[in-house]
Amino acid sequence: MTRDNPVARRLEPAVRLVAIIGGWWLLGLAFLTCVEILCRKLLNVSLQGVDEIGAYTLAVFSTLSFAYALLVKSHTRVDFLLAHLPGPLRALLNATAYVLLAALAVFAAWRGWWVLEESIEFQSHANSPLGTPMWLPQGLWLVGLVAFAISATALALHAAWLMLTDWRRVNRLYGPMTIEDEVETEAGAILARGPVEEFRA
Amino acid sequence: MIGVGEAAIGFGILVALLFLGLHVATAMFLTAVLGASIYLSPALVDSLGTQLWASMEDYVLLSIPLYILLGEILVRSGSTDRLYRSLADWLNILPGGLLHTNIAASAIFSAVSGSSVATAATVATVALPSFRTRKYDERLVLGSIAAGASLGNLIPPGIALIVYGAMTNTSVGQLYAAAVVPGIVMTVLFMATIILMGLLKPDWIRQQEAQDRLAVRLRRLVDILPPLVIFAIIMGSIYSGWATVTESAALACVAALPIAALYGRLSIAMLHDCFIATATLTAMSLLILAVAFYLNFVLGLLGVTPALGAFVTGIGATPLGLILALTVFYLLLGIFFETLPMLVGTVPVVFPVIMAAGIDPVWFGVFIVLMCEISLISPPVGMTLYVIQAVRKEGTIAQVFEGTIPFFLAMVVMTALLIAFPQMATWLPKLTYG
Amino acid sequence: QQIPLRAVGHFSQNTKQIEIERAFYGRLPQATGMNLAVSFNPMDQIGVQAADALRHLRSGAFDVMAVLVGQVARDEPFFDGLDLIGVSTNVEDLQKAVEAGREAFDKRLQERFNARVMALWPFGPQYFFCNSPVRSVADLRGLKVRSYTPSMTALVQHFGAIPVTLQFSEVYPSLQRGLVTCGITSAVSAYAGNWGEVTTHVLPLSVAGGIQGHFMSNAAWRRFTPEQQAKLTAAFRELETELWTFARVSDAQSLACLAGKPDCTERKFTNTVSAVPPEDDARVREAVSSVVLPTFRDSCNRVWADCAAVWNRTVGAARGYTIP
Ligand code: NA
Ligand code: NA
Repeated sequence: MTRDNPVARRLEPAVRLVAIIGGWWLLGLAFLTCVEILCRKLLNVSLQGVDEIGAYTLAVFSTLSFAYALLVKSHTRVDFLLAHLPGPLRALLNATAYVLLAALAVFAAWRGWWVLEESIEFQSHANSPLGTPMWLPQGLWLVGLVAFAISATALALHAAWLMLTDWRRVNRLYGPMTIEDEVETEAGAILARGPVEEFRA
Repeated sequence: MIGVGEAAIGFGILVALLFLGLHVATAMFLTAVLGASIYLSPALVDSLGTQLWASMEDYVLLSIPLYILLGEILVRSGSTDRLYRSLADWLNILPGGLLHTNIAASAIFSAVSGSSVATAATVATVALPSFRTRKYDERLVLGSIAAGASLGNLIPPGIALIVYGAMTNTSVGQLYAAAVVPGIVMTVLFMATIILMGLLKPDWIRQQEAQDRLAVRLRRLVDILPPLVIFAIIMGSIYSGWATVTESAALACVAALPIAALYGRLSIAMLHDCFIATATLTAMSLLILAVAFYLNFVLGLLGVTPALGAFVTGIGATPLGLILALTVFYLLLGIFFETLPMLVGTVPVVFPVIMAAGIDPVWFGVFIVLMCEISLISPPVGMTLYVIQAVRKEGTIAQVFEGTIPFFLAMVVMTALLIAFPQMATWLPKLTYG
Repeated sequence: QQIPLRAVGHFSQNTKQIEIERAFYGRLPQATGMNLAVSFNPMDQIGVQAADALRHLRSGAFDVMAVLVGQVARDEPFFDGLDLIGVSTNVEDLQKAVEAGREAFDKRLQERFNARVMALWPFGPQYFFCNSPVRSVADLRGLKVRSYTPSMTALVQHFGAIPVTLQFSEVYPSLQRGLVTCGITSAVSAYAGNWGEVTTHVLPLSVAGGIQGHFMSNAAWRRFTPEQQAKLTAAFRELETELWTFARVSDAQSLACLAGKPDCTERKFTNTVSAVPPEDDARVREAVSSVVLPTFRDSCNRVWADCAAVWNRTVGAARGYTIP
C-alpha cells in the first residue's frame, strides 16, 4: 500500500522509525529480563518490577505499532464477501471501512487522553515496589494512539475524497489486503531471500 | 440484561459488519457501542480508554511480541533451512520419504515458534525447490506442508494458547503442558496419513530417496541443535522454576541472537526487519484483542453470559452434545475466519457456557486451538494455503486445497480422539502441576 | 418505577465473598423496600481492573463497586493508610484502625472521587506462606519473598529478605519450583489457591488485613431519598458486619485445614503453622517505625500535604504510632 498510496508514503518514514524504536525497546527488555532471571537465581537479588515494565511495554509497543500496521494494511478485514461485490459498491464499503476505523482511532485517542489526564490530576503512582508515575507509560501509550488516530484520519479523508473523484482508485488503494500483500507482510523476508542453501538431499 | 434473542441479533450484526469488510476491530467496537448505548449508559462507552489500558497493560500478553520476535530471528538466521536438510537425512528411509520431513521439520520449528504462518512460509521455501525434481504427487507435497504448519499453534509455545489463557484467566503454563501430547499425537497422525496415502496410491510417492554418506549425515546432525536448544530453554526455564512463561520467551529471544550470529546472519538491518515484522503482527493481534476485551466487558454487563448459560441448560445439552455442536460450529466458522478473529470473537461467549457445563478449561483451550488450526487449512480462507501457493509460484491454489483434504480428515480424527480421550490433554498438566 | 443499580463485585476466585455479595444484592430490594434493578458482575469476569475502581465510580460507569483498597491506592495513597503493612497485626487492632480512619477516608473519597464509603471490611489477615522452615521473621533473612506493594517491599527488605515481584497467578508455580520461598497472602486465599501443596510452613503473623470496601458513587447516591439512603446505609452496615465475621471464621478454618487439624471438614494439608514468637511483635514495630511509615509518608505527602498529619490524628492515634 505504501508504494502506491501518496498519503501512506508520506507518513511511512516516521511511523516506521517509531516501530523500530519499539523493537529496540522490546529487545532491551528481553535482555533486562535475562538479567533479572540470572540475578534472582545466582545472586539472590531481584531487580523488582521487570514484570511491571514488561506490562507497560506491551501496551506501549502495541499502540506505537498500530499506525505502521495500518499503513501496510495489516489490520485484519474479512474480505470473503467483498471480493464478490460490484466495483462501485466495493469502493463505498472500502471507504466506509477506513472512515469508521478512523472514528474508532480518534475516539480511542480521545478516551486515552482522559486516562492520562486523570493520572496527572491524581498524581497516580503504581502501588508497586517500582512506584511508577502512571503518566509516564500512559503518556507513551497515548502517543501511539494519537499517531494511529492521525494516520487513520489522513487515510480516511483521502479515501473519502477519492470516493467522490475516482472510486476505482479507492479499490486499488483501500481494498483489503490482497493475498500477495498479505504474504508479503507475513513472510516477505523469507520469500525474498529464498532458501539459505540450495537443498539437495 | 438482555435475552438470548437479542444476543443472537447482536452476533448477527457483528457477523454482518465483518462481512461488509470493516476492520475486525471496528466491527467489534461498533457492536459493543451499540449494545452499551441501547441497554446501558454512555458512561460505559466513555470508559473505552480505561478498559483499553487495562487490557493492554498485561505482562502475560507480552509473550506474544516476544515469541514473534523469536520466530523472526530464527527464520532469518537460516537455522530452519539447515534443520530441514538434516532431518531429511534420516527420515528419507520411511515410505513417503521427504514428505515426512515436511511434517517433522514443521513440528520442530513449531516448538520454537508461536506462528503457523511463519512455519508454513519457512518450510515451503526450503522444501518446494527440492520437490520439483522428485516423483511425488504435488498435491500431497503441498498438503503435507500446510498440515505441518498447522502444528505451529498446537505444539507449545503458541500465540493462540497465550491469547486463550489471557482471555479466560487460565494458566498458560498449564495450557502448554496440556498441548504437548496432542501436538505429538497430531504429528504422528500426519505421518500415518502419508504412509496410508502411500499404501492407497503407491504411484503418488514412488520416490526412493538417496542417502548421503553416514559421516556427512552425522556432521549435519548438529543443525538440529539450535531449535532444540531454544525449545529446551523455553520449556526448561518454565518447568525448572527459573522463569515465568513471559520471561522464558525473553530468554529464548536473547538466546536466538548468538545462533543468528553463528550462522553469520546477525546484523542491524536484519534486526530492523525482525522488529518491523514483529511490530506489524503484534499491532494486528493487539488491536483486535484489546477491542475484543472491550466487547467482552459490554457483553458481561449485558448479562449475555447467564442468558446463554440458562439457554444451554434449558435445552438440556450434555457436555458431549455441547462439544459436538461446537465442533460443527467451529468447522463452519473456520471456512471464513482466521485463527485470531475466530478465537477472540467466540471465546467470550462460549467459555462461560463451557464452564457452566463443567468442562475442564485447560482441555477446552487445547480443543479450541485445534479448531483454529483446522480453520487455517480449510479453504477458501486459510492463510497458510496462500503462503504456500505464493512460494510455489505455479499451478493453481485448487491443487493446494486438494492436497490438504487427507490432512484435514486427520485433524477431524484428532478432534474425535481429543473428545474421546480427554486425558490426552489433562494428563500432563496434572503431572506437572499436581 | 425501577431504579437501576450497576454493581461490580469482588474477584470471582474469592467464591465465598462473591456468594455473600450476590446474596446481599439479591435481598437488597426487599431489605430497603425499593424497586431496585441490580446488575451484578464480579470484576474479573467483565475485565475491570481492581486499580481502576475509583475512576469507574467517578465517571459514572458503575454505581457500586467492591474495591481492593491496596490497589486503588495508586490513585490515592492515603487510602493505603487504613491498613499499612505491619501496623495492625491482628483483626481486633485492625478494626480499631479502620474505625479511627473511616471518617477521614470517606471525606477524601467524596472530595476527590465523588463517591462514598458504604462498607469497609478485611479480606483476612495476611501471613507468610513458605516452603522452608520459617518460624519467625528472623528466619526470613536471605529468602526470596513475593512482594507487591512499596511498603511490603520495605518491610521484607528490613528483615533481610529479597523481595520479588510476581503476578498473583504466578505465585503458586513459583513456590512449587522454588523461584520464591515465601508468599504473603490471606489464609483463605492460600487455602483456596491450594498453596498448601507447595508450602511447608506458615508464619501466622498478620502483616496486613487485606482491607476491602464497597463504595457508591455520589451520583447514584443522590437518586435516593434520605429515607432510602438511610436504609441503604443500614443494609451495607449489615453486609460489613457479615464480612468481618466471615473474615474471622474463614481465617481460622483455612489455617486449621492448612495445618491438617481434625476440626477441618474440607481438604486437609500438612503445613506447620508456627506460634508467632513474642519477640516478633517488637521486630515488626521497629520495622514499621523505621521503614514502613517513612515510605508511606513520602508517597502520600507528595499528593496531599496533610496526609501524614491526618493519619497521625486518626489511625496512628488508635494504633500508637506517629509518623515523624
Ligand atoms: Na508453537
Ligand atoms: Na479457513
